[in-house]
Amino acid sequence: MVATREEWSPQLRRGVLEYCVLALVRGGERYGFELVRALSDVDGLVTSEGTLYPLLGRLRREGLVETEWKESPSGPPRRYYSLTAGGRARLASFVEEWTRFRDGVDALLGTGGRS
Amino acid sequence: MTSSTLHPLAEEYLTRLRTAAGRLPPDRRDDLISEIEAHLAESIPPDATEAQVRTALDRLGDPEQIVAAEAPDEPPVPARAAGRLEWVTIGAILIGGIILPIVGWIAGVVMLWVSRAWTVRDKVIGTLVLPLGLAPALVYSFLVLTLPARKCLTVTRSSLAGGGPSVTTTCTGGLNGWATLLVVVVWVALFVLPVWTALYLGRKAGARPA
Repeated sequence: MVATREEWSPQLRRGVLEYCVLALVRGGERYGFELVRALSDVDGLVTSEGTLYPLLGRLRREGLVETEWKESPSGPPRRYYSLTAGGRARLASFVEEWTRFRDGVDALLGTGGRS
Repeated sequence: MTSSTLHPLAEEYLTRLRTAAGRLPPDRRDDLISEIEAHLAESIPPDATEAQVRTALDRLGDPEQIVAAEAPDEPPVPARAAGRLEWVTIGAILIGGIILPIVGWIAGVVMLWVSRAWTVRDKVIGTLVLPLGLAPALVYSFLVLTLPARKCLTVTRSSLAGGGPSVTTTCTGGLNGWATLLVVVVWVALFVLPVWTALYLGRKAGARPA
């Protein structure tokens, strides 16, 4: 049976979302709200910002990111996320896999956009 | 933290989140709530209009859905009363140090720390307020009651060279007024604090799912 859009879309998102988080902190630490806003500004990636926090928690428990609460110059303390060595390795292997996967699917769908 | 300055709608949202998060393990729940609190504080400026607040809350999403994302496999579990094990733990912390000096209390603390019914914060409170439970109160009571009583002697001498009689008071043993007050305050605290902690742990254990 072929899944409807409502069924495959969340699955696709769930599959790539955690790697998008890892990619966002690749260049240096960022705080939770900043990460969540960056992800939710990508069209179609996130339906509810709040559900990203459980994802951040899972990445932390899996040791892919580490966190530190710091005082903010204005307002409440912020929890900063940064990539661990394990997270960096996981991201690198995903990037490799994703590139292969994307190129293959693009070729089949004719969505490669190479003109 | 910052909840005192939050918009009423955001406060109401947090209340719904806390209720929904009741079924999560304490550490995960506290973590999630502090993240969402920080998010609300960042996304809603102090002078935000009601429309802005509603937009921020809409983007955040339904609290129930957020909690479901935190615990995808755990069905909602109603809060239960503290179980027998929790009460034994509390009892050991409170009076274990009296029944089996020191060792009984340590057993209670170990049970407290391996339990999943309390958060780390509760466990720290349970351990430090007060170490050895009611045992220090008992030892202190013994010391206080065996203190020598204060004795005062007043001597009145009539002066031959005129003027009023001179009165001298000499006190020996015991404590003066301020010291007595201090002793009583410490005495009360040694009883009240462990009992308060026991009640606190009982309430917290009852508020959490297994």
